[in-house]
Amino acid sequence: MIRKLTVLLVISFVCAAAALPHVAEARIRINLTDANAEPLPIALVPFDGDTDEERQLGRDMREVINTNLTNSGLFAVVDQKAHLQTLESLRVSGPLYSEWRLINMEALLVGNVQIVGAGNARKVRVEFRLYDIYEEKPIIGKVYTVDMRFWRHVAHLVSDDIYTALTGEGGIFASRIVHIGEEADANGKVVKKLCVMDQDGGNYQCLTDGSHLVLTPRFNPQSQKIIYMSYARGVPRLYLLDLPTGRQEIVGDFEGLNSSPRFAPDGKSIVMTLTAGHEGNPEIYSMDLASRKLTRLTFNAGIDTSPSFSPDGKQIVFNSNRGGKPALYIMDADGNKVRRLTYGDYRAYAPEWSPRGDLIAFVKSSGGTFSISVIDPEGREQRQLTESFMDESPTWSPNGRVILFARQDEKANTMRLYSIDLTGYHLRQIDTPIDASDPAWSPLIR
Amino acid sequence: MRRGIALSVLLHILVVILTDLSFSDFFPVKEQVQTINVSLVMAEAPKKPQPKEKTPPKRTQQSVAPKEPPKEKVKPTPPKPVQEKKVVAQKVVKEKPQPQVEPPKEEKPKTEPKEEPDDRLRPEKLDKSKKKDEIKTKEPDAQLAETPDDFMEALDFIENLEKEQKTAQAIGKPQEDAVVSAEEEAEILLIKRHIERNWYRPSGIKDMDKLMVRYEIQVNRDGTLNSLRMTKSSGRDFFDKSIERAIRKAVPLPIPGDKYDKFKNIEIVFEG
Repeated sequence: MIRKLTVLLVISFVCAAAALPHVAEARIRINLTDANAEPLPIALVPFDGDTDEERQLGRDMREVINTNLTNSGLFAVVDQKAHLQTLESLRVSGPLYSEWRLINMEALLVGNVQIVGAGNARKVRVEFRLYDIYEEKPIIGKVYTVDMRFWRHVAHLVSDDIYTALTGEGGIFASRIVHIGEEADANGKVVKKLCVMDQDGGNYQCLTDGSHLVLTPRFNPQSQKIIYMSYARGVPRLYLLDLPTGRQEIVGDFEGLNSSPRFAPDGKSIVMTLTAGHEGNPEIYSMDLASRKLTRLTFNAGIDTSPSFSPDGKQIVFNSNRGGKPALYIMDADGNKVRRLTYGDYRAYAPEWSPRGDLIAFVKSSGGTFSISVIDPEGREQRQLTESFMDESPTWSPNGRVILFARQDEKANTMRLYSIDLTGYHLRQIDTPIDASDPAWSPLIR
Repeated sequence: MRRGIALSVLLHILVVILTDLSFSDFFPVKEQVQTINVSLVMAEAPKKPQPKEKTPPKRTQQSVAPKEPPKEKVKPTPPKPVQEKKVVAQKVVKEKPQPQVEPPKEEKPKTEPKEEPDDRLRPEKLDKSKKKDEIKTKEPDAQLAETPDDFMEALDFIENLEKEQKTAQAIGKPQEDAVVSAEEEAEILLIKRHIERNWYRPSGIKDMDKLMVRYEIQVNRDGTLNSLRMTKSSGRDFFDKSIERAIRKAVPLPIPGDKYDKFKNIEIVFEG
């Protein structure tokens, strides 16, 4: 009886208590939707130095970093004239955060340059710190020491460090772009050369002289090696070129090779399109680079071409007209489970799977024009990013945020490289001394 | 036996009464009715609406992109309202409408792409049927209060009752928003904009529509932060921190002074 009473008491007590939360725990809820769409305001102080040469190098590096960050569209680098704190004051007291807050800066870059060694063996030692003006403390600080010839590369590494620290995204600036440079020779004939440059256009050089036709250079995702096609003796030949050393080797002659040999993500095999004689139509093959063994992946009477690997190496997106018109299809890396990706009233070519894995860029053709579009690997949403007469050859930046492509100007009949964000913003032309096409973006150089 | 049943029924009724009521039912607040004098004026003859100037249609990203025929959009069947016993029933909880893809905004020529929300990955809180089942199965414990081992079972029953309350509270959150007046909505919007203005993050983040972050903050009367803690992480440190930073930078928050009690606990979420 006592037990039952206790139970009754406890239960009724709890019931009474349970009624209370109605009033006490009401809570306002805020659903964040849009972030600040403005680029992040940042101040870059030219790197300091003891000698005039060091200070000039500091200014040059600042310019490289400025160009990189500004071109990304994510940063607003404030004019140096607006800096309130002087270089002397920085040297003596470090950052005076209030003075940077007055001009609404979110972050501040400060650093110094030291040239060490002598003669040809001179090295440059660059130390930098990125400060958070709001939290009044350094975000990152690093030291790089390299051969003085590579000072620009250090500026790109610093740019990447800043970029990653302030956006959380992978780097993009310490990378190269290889492409086909086109110019008319003395006789007015257009020659195509293999050319390479830093992603900001620096260190531009051409590696072949144009005597042979060169096509479709592509980077190995694991290194700074490129594979490209050349018609050396009338037969398509595949070359492997190591950019840092310049060493080149022949992968093989492939009669019936159409184009676009591409590396698998592990860099150990390539996929390519071959029109093997007896079949008569282009099919996709995979080749192991070590054993040179060919494996056929597609078995369809139509045209199957332009294969591109997913970053995990498990799938391949390619272009096929097996459905009646050129569209994108996805299959497993061994050729199984083919499924159609693009539908709709357009033709799709030249797919490129983003290194981030979440998007596939391609050339969309409708109404006689060719533009760059992206689609997710499940095919749920397709977005057209550009609108032009002829845009082609999309290639992704190492962090999967920027697409580089070639645009042919209808009137001027020139071919130039352009880049655009995956959001469709920040379209801009890349400066090249001669016409350029067929670009390929390297992985990050470390 | 009879006494046991009678007792049990009494308890059930007691619980029903107490859970259905709140203090406001005992002390209803009289709505202050303000009278505003209005004078009626003869309306002018309605002007014919000017035909909208035909600006050349802006070819936005959205308009140019042809819509793909949807590929297998599996919409989860909306959770069927479960027939619960009266013990569990609070107010009828309104279903949160499935989030729609927002139409392209007029002002921005190229809007940030809004992908179709992947319903399959939506948080379970929208799938209420699970919790209700849980609650349902625990009820039989109430009848066991009469046996000799009833104390432990009774304690279990109490525990479950508390849990029900908490989950019913959580489920009832959209209901709490409904309680907010129009004026308060504007005040909430002000705080929201204040935080968003300070939130720097890059656009086009991978799978952003699948990210979820939740923070709970307590504010002081002057809008400064008393406490802040993260209750759900997106799994991406940078993203979580970017929101925390935005909240801290937005302080002091514009809290309406006369409604401090209502505004002192705030939940800030990002849901794709």
